[in-house]
Amino acid sequence: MTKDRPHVMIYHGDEGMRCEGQNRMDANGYPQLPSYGAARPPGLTSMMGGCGIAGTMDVTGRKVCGEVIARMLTTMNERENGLGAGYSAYGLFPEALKDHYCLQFFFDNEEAMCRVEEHLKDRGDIIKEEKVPTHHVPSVRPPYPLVWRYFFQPDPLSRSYLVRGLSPDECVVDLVMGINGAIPNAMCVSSGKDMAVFKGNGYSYEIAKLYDLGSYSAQMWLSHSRFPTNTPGWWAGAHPISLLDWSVCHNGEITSYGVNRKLVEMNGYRCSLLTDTEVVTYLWDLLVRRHGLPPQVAAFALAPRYHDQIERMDPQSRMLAEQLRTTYKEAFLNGPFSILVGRSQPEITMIAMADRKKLRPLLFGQSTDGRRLFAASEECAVRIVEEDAETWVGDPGSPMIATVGKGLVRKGTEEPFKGAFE
Amino acid sequence: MDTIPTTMNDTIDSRKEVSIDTSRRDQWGRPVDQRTLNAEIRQAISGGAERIIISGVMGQRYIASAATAKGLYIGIRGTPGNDLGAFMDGPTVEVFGNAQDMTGNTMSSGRIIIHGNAWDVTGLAARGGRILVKGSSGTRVGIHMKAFGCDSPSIVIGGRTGDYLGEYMAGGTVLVLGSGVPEEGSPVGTFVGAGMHGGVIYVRGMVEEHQLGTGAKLSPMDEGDRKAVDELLTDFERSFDLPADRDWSEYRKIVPLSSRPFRGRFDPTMVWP
Repeated sequence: MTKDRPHVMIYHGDEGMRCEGQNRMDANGYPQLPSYGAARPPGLTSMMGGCGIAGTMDVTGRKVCGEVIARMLTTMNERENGLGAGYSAYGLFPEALKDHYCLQFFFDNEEAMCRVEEHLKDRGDIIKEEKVPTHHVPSVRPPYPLVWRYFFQPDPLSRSYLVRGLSPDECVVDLVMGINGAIPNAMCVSSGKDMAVFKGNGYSYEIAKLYDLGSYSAQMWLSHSRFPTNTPGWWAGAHPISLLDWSVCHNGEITSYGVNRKLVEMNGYRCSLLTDTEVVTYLWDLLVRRHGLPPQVAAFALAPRYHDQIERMDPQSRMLAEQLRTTYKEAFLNGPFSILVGRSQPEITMIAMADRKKLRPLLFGQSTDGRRLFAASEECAVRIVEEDAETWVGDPGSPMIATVGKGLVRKGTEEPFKGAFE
Repeated sequence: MDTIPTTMNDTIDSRKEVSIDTSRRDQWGRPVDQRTLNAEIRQAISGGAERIIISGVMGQRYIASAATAKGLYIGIRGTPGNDLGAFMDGPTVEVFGNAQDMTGNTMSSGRIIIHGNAWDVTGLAARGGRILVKGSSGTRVGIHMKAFGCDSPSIVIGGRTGDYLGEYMAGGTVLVLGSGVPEEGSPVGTFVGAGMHGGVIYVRGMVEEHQLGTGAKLSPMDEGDRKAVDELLTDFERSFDLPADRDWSEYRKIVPLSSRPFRGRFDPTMVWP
């Protein structure tokens, strides 16, 4: 290993496993979870809740301090149980670095880090690397993975990519899928230009302190506090789930996960994060970046209107709607969800939508000067940072879309394809 | 869980007014926990308070939930959280701001007055009492409402509502006034009254046939309806000091097709017509 790299940041998981009753292995060699009969499993004292999501952006491109998003998210403290929280920041890096892919990793040991570095050097150039500053927060349970950041330029002419003729974006997708799927103890948590994800396994306020969010400012922030229901709470499984410049915060569950997963896997994505949210991230990348759909059209493919509603649309919209329902039937996200989606290319954009029945909460807000936009699970998340904001709710399945530069493009109450045919 | 003491000043007013200030924040910047605030409210109620004024409310859930003191008034400044007045039986709650989701969840009696908007699922499963909202609401307003004996819940929304208004409604009254809705638009969404088998929904403004859910139908207003709406409008006017429109030709009435809209669908002995 090189340079001034801190030596001990790795917590060895083995010691954690040695607590009583947890060192049994099953027939496949995996640790066995404890089993209970009539006795109530200990530790489940949290009140039931749902995940909390919150996002804010300044449409004029001014930067918003990380403390603002942390206050928004931590206010909804009923919506989390300390098993994951995360923040994604867009438009935070200086001019010299914003055109490089920022790959942020969790490493559990130095071997994983070395393997990742070799993997990267074979496929492009590391422009700059640094430790992502983290503070010790005693209440956050170990393990604490090392959080490391590489500014990277993929080389499409490198040995791995030359014959495949991949674009730089596709090289990065291939790289992230390869590392997350094949290199143990290493996880790439964000890989976009001019954006980064700060997440971990803890309460929202703990993770904000762990990364010292107050020291960052960014043009757009998305955030998520987790109440995991179906999958384990772990560092890489916390939201936002990110690929390239996409990041997705998700409250709810995707019951069509199996079908959606087949679609993204057939298109070269590899699911490795043990959570249904990652298919949502890959679907946005597939539909918008690769297939070129406008965001409101992609939103319709994910949460389509009913057939009898489509029949009443104007002929042009009806044809598009029917084509989308046919072409992208495996992209239809069934189940209750509300999601925040962010991207930085070609412009910093926030997309916020609920499922087509609106079975999860989502509320939008705008400051009185029109500059700041908000999307959150609950109104209090908006009010605590912008007392006089105008707030509204969107229609089921209809996205609110805002970009730095253009401002509020859709309020989430319009016709599904408004602006798509221009 | 950190608890922050809220200040509580018992006045010696004959009406026994108690003020609770919740504007403090903990070391993480979080508002007072709902358990702390609700304990303060319950303590004030058991102390015989007749007026409780809560200020600086920021998303605390379950305020006035299961409160049963008749004649109690709770005034709220700020943004109360989900399940405001859930299972409430008697008191009057007045919010000077917006309310979040599930206001008046399964309330039995009492009044909730919102001088702002009350978002999704307002008045779900209400059994009685009245909810008055000056502004708009979201999806699923008044779903699963029921009336029993002399208890019949009623909800008045001044602005618009989203989809699934009065879904599975079994009793009670919903009135949507559509203030601020453009003339060519409708103040309600789609699936209005889906699966309803009791109660009535009145809408001031356009409602088209395709907006109705399965089991609901449009029906002409009669003298009894006008009287019922007039009573709700009078209450609305008095609560918000706003004039209401009584041009009855603007009003639409939505009622269930039958008291058993799904008859035959789940009964294997029935012959499907």
